[in-house]
Amino acid sequence: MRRRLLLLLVPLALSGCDGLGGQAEAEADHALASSSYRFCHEAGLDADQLDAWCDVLDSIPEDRCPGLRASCAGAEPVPSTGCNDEGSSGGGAEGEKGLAKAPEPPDEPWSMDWSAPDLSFLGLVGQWLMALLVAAGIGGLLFVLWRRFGVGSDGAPELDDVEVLVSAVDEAELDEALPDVPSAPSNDLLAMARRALDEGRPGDAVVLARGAALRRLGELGRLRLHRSRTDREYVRLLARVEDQGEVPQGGSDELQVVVSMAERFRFGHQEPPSSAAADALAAAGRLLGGLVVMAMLVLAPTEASAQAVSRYRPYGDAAFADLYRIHGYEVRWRLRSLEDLDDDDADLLVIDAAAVMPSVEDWDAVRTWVERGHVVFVLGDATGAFPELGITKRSMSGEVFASGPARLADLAPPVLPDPFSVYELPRSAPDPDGTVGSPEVWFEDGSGGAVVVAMRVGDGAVLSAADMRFGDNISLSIPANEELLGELPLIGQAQRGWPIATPPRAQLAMRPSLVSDSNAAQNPFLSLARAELLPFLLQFLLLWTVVALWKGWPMGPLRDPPQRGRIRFADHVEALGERYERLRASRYALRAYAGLWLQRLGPKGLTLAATASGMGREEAASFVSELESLVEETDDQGDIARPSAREAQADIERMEVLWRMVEHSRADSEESP
Amino acid sequence: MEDGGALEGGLGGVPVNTLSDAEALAFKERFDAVTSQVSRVVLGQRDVVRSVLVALVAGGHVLLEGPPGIGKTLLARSMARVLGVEFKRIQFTPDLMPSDVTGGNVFNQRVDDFVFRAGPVFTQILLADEINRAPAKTQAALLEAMGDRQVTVDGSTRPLPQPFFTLATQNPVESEGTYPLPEAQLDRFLIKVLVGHPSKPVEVRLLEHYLSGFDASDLDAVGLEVVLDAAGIAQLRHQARRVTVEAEVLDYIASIVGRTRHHPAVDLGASPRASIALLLASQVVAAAEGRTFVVPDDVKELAVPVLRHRFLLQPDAELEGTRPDDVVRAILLDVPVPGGERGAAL
Repeated sequence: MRRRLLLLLVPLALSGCDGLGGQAEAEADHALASSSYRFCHEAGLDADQLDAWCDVLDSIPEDRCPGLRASCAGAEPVPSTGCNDEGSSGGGAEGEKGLAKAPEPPDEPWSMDWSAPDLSFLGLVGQWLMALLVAAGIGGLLFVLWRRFGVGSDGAPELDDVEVLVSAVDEAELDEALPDVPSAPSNDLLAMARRALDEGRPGDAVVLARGAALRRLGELGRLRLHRSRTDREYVRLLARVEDQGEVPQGGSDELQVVVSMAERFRFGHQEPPSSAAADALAAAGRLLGGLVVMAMLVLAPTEASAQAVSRYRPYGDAAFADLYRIHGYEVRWRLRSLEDLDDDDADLLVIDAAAVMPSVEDWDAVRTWVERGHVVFVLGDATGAFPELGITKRSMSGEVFASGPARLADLAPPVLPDPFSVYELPRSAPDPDGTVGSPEVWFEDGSGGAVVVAMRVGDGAVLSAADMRFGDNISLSIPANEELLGELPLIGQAQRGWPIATPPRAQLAMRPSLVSDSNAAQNPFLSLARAELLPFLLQFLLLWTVVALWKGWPMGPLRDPPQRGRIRFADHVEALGERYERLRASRYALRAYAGLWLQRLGPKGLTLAATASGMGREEAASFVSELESLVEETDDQGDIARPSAREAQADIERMEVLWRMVEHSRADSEESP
Repeated sequence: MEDGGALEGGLGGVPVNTLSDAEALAFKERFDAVTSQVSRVVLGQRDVVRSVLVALVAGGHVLLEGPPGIGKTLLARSMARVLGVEFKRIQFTPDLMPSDVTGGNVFNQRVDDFVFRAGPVFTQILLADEINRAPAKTQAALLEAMGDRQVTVDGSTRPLPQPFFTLATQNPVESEGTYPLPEAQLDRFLIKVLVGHPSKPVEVRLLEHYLSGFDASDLDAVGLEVVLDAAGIAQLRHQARRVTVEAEVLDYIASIVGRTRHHPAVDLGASPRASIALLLASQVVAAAEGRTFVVPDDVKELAVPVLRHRFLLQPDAELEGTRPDDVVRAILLDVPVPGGERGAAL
């Protein structure tokens, strides 16, 4: 077993940053490790892209992108690094996007190189073994304590300790995400509450303040939020820990103020007065951190910062999904190849062309899907599917103007660093059979290039921003760009009659591993690595090995349980028997058993069986008669009173006698020819 | 539960004529006054007193389970005195007959006809002491009285005085010579309260109380004040029904009760009567706290005492030691508490 496991583990642990080359690298675009996010938030990253985005820094609200600002202000830039610097320029989606090559995560232990084994995995194995040893030590200590002080330490099991079917409260479950407290950070919630109060919605303000207070207390570890807990339970819990001196006093009073107000609005249909709501917000503010937060509140968040709360989140692609949700879309991720597009999938398909890099077949499928009456929004070059858009080129004009429907809608033009990509539209009408309309420029640069272009195709439409960076996280930090992404399809719906239902359904094709067959995992291990399940699998296998070594191979030959196990089983049976006795079920059991044999053998047959078992004739008749009267009596009575302990003992003895004589009788009948 | 749980309100579970803040505060004052008066005599059992009063105002009945000698009778007597209503007690025994409860027609030689002699059930607060000592048919004599507030003897139906409130006690079912109450009867109790032995400090206070001259058989000497009467109880009941209940709280109640019907340890789940009971009791608790609306905490607080006696456990679960309270608590852990959606949507 050990040898087999080692054979399994060695290839898993063979780590090398080259691994599967560009494939594994392309998979490094995990949302939380997004270089876009890190570029925006961490100083000193991505020197290659620094200059371009520093130029547009003035367009980005001051509370966003602290890392970028620090970098532009002179922090030491860190060139893109990875396990293999050369690999960073080849094939990766982000390399194509030309944006923010962040350092790859330093530990990529699960990518494999079969040809060049790297013995560095031994260090990892050593860590695992150390962790196992520690875990085994702790487990052993707990086992000893349990044996010493725990259940059954004196041998006989206690009836009260019989395991119950309903599991006790699972403390781990208490950490479960809470649906009724918004998942935004507490400070953001409080800012939203303040905004709601300013807008004359005191009820919403106190509800948000309640969410902020609870979220904050959860963040601090003073409360464990759970969906089954009520607000008042939180107040009581907090008061309890305050009484125990674990946290400073006063928090429960503040929380009480906030939740009382929120309850009044939510369950009592009573809009609180603004002054009371302000008190609740002040109480929540004190819970959130005292004077500092209050000072923030006094400053009153601007419109831009409120947007920052709701729209701009450091979650990479997730920010994109949130943005569309805020615009009223039902958002889902595209989890299949673009070749499998169905009519029911969505009204709007958003493709990050630079990240997904659709194949020719993918583009064909997208075009066919659009022609059937859907809308696609391509971020990046869409000429693969729609050659009618002409070609892309670099624009150096540095200026962008709205035109057409965008001008009518009074949309602010997008902001992109120079040079950015534009479409150079063909001069002649591209479609002789008339199924394709003329490209319509929605935003253009100073030289007449199309920054954003739209076009009817069949029954549907295509919308495309030529620059591939338009949908990047760093781009989303610019309010104008953020607004355009959500608004442009809706403007097409309103002004050009695009076939987008209400509410619109959008699918986001952002992750190459999810939407392109060409990027499919080539072996199960890579698939597991992409799902980040390899550590779990390895842990499971190791645990399984330990259990197998301890308890025996689970598929091995059956063997008797060890003596200790048999004793435990007997103890369990005994405990159940005592439980029966405690429930006074003996009378029921005796009545059922005697009734059965009286029915099958009759009084005479039972008497004969009794005499055959060695009982005297009179004694047998008396015994059977006694059983008869017992059965009849209890039948008439309906409800059987619970017998006393002495009566229960007599019942059991009679049952044993009955069992012996019936068994004897059956043995005789089997022996007779 | 003579009202059958019909909501007095309009859409969304909001009563048309909702309770005002002033009415709620007055309700709280009267509720607290009763609780305080009874707690002067029944020491260390304030929660039990409160539960009993909640059931009374909600129009239900209470089943107290606990060992003998912990003040159950004293509680009923002092409650009757503080409420200014009539009180009677029946000691249930194995040979008790239904007519001993309801009364019956006896031949009166003077008038040469049968005349109805009312049983002890014709009262306003009835203490059914050790109800599970009597066989099923005697227990069943109380069914009609508890459910419909009336008694039918020899085809003649007689209404019971209002308010009619049954405070039944029973010993734990493991005790010798007991008859488990049938499910139909258990379901008629709005609340089942488990009463245990008092803690040591409470017991010391109890002894000091007796040392200072308290005599449980002479409540007159204690000077309990009558703070409510039958009309006052009726008014409290009416006010409690006007407490606002948000639709999502109704959904919460239905979810909790519904889960009892699908729980693996439960053989027969709670009936819709349980939902109604939980609703009515929650309204009373809300009003008793001076609120004009029910919050999920009210429901959660009452779920165990209202539901613990209303479903049957699987035999194997019962044998393994699972208690109904465990089941209800597990359900409460599983059902999300309503609220917060407005905040999440912003």
